[in-house]
Amino acid sequence: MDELNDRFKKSAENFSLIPSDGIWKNVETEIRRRERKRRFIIIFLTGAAILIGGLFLFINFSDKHPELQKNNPAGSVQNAAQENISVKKDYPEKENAAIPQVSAEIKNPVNSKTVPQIKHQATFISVTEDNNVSEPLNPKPSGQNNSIINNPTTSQIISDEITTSSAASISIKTDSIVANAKDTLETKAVKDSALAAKSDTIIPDTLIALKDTTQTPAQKSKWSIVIGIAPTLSFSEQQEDGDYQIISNYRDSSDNTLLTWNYRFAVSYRFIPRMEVFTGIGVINFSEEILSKQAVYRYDTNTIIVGPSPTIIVSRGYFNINGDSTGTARNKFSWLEIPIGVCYDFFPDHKLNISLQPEASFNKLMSADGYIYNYETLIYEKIKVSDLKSWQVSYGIGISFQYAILKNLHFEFTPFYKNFQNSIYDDPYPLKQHLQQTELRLSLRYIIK
Amino acid sequence: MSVIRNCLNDSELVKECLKGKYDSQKLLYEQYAPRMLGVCYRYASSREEAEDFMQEAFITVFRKLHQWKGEGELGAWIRKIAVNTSLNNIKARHRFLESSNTIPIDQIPDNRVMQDQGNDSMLMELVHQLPAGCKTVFNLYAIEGYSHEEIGKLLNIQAGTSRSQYLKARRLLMQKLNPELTIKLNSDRHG
Repeated sequence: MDELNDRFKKSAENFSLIPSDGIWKNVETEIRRRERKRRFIIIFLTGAAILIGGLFLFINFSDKHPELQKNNPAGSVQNAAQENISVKKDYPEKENAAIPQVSAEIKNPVNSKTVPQIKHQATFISVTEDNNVSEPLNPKPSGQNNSIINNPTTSQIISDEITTSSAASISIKTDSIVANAKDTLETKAVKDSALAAKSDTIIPDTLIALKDTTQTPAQKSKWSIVIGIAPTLSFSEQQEDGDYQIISNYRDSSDNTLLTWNYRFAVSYRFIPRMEVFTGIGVINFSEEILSKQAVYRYDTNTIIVGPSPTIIVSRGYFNINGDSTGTARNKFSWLEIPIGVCYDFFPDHKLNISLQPEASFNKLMSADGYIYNYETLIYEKIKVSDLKSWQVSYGIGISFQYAILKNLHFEFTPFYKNFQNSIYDDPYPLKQHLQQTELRLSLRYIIK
Repeated sequence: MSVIRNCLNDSELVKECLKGKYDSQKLLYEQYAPRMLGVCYRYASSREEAEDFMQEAFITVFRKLHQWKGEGELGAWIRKIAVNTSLNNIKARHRFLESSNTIPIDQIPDNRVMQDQGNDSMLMELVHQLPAGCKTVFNLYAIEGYSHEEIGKLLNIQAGTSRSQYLKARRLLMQKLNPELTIKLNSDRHG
C-alpha cells in the first residue's frame, strides 16, 4: 500500500503546471486594491483622530478662557467694541496686585437712557506673597467708583457693586498682579470649590451687557441650508438565494467597487437649541467592476440521492462577456435621494461643534447601466431598469464636525455610513446585493438670518 | 529578475514583498505558482477551476504573508494555503461526493491515458480524473499525509467514510495502472 502512495506522493512533489497570464494580473489588482483600502482607512482614522484631538484641546482651552469663544457672549471680547466698551484682558506680571477676572474700562460715557441699568459684581481674590488665596473681603457699599485699594504688601479682595448707568467714566484697573497668581488662582480654584464657584460666577459688567443684548445669528435664526459633496466608497454584500450560487467570483462586486461622488442639498430647522430636523434632495452614485469570467453553481435539489452523505447534482458553467474572458465590465447606478433626519449638537454655539446625524432616505432609481447575469441561459445581458428595485429605503448615521467660518457660514466635515435596506436587484433575481456606502461629506451651511 | 532570485532567500523575499515591492511580489508568485497550480489541479475538477483555486490561494498568501515568521519552508506554507483554499472551495461548492461534470475514471477510454506509467503528469492526471469525493480523500491521505480521523474533521465526514473513499480511489487507480490485474480479478470473480 505504501509503495503506491509513495509513488503518487513523489509525482505530486514534482508536478507543476504553467498558469495563465491573467492570473497574476488579477492577483496583483487585488493586492493593490487592498493596499489602497488600507491606506484610505489609515488616513481617515488619522484625520479623525487629529480632528477629535484638536477639538478636545480647543474646547478644553476655550473652557478655561471663555472669552475666546466667539459665539459665547460670556467670553466675547470683540463684541464689546459694539457697545463702545473696551475690555482689557491681560495679566500683567506685577506683584501684590488683585487678580480680576477681567478689567473693564468704559471709554465713552453714555446716557443712562441708552445704556441699560446693569449691575454687576467684580470679585477679586487676594493672593498673598506666599501664594495663599484668602476669602473675599466683605463688599463695600455701592456707589463707589474707585474700588481698588492697593496694599503694597498684599493684594486685597475687593467686592464692589458698580452701576454702569452713571454718565461718569468708570475705570476699574488693577495695579499689579502677582507674577504667578494666575496659575496659583487656577490651582486654588480647583482645590477650593467655593472659590471655584465664585470664579465661575464672575461676570464682568461689560460682558453682562453683552449677554443680555447680544445673540449670535445661530441662536436667533432657526433655518439653514446645506450644500455638500461627498467622495464615497461603496460596499455591497452579495448573497445567493434558492438554487443558485456564485462561487468562483473571488473578485465579487463588494470587493471591486469604485470611488464615486454623492451630492446633497438640504434645508434644516432648529426646533430646540441643540437639535434640528432636516430634509432635502441628493444624488447617490454606485459603480462596480465585475469580472467577465464567472463560475456559477446551481444546486438542483430535486435530485438528491440519500446515502452516507447527501448527494446533490451540480451544474456549472463559465461564460464570457462579449467573448472576452479576461476583461471586466462596469456597472453604474444612480438614485435620487430624499433624506429625512435629525441633527443633535453636542457643542452648540461654539466655533467648533460636533453633531450626531442619523437619517433615513427614500431613494428613487434614476439610471442603471451595465450587465446582469442570466442564471438560466448562463450569459450576461444588458441591465434594464426593470431588473432593479425602483424605490429603496436606506438608513445612515454620521458624525459632523462643524467649524464656523463666519457667523452665518459653517463648514462641515461629516463621515457618514449608509446602508440600503433591501437588495438593489428586484425580487425574482436570485442574486441579492445589499449596498452600503461610506461618505466623507464636505458641506457648507448657511444660516438664514 | 534572475539577479533578484539569486540574491534573495525566502525571508528576504518576504520582507521585500511586505514592503510592497512589485518586483519581489511577482517573483514570489512566479517561483511558487506552477507548483501550486499542480496542487490545486489535483483537487479541482477542471483546469479553470484549478486556476481559480490557485488565484484565490495567492490572494490569501499575500494577505497573510506577515504571518509567516520564517519557521519552516515558505513553499510548504504556501502549499498549505493552496490545499486549504481548495478544500474550502470544494466544501462550499460541493456538498456531495460525486460530480456530474466529471467523467468517472473507469469510463475514460484507455487512449486518453498516457501509456508511460512513470510519467508524473500521467499519474497526476489519473488523480485529477478521480471522482470528486474519493479524489479529495486520496489527495489528503496519500499525498498530504493526513489521517482518516483528521480528514473526517476537515471534510465533515466519518473516518469510516474517508477509509472507504480512499480504498475506492486506490482500486480505480490500480485498475488504470494495472489493467491486466483488473482482467484477472474480473475473471476470478466470474469463475
